[in-house]
Amino acid sequence: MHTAKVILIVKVISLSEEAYQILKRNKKPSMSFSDIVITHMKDDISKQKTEDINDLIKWIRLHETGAKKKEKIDHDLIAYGVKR
Amino acid sequence: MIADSSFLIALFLEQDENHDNAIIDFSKVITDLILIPDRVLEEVFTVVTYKNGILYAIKVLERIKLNKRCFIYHLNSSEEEAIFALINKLKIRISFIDYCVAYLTIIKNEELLCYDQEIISFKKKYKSIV
Repeated sequence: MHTAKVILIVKVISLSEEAYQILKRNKKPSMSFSDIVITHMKDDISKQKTEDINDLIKWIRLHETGAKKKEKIDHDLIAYGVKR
Repeated sequence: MIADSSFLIALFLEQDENHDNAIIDFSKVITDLILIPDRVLEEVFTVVTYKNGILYAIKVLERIKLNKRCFIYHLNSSEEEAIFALINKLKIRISFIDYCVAYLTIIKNEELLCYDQEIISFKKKYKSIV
């Protein structure tokens, strides 16, 4: 049997408290936070972020299998091994 | 907007009872920024991995990374102190992550994407005693 070792690295764009405060300060009522990001953080973030809400919904729909059975997923039981 | 794990898990797991609601609620986000607390992302990653496998969970992280509306929010030490103070004050039996989410939505006055009744009722209790 062949085995393959695959190393996957996932980078996540982060927003620190300081960056968030900058966004808050610069936010005008007519502007969304995304507008602020584009205006003040420009290339650093926007170059790495290329997808919108609809792209993500399409991606999720693509991965749906059509399963009809719905369930109440107990997050705590899976993450911590305990029920609420 | 702050996203709770109940929302994100429902969004990414088709079998979740709130999956269709999550898709609808997510599609309504037109201009807002969705902040995902780092601890929430950890919980989402764990649950998605155990329910749908590690490869799907990695793809979910990639999609969040690429999305213009989604940003990971890291709590700093002063915020952690404030959350501990909140825990000491209220002493309600909910998880630390639930306290984090409630704290961020209350203190930062952000809207909450959430299907967890415990957090929703927590917010109401907090507002009634402050």
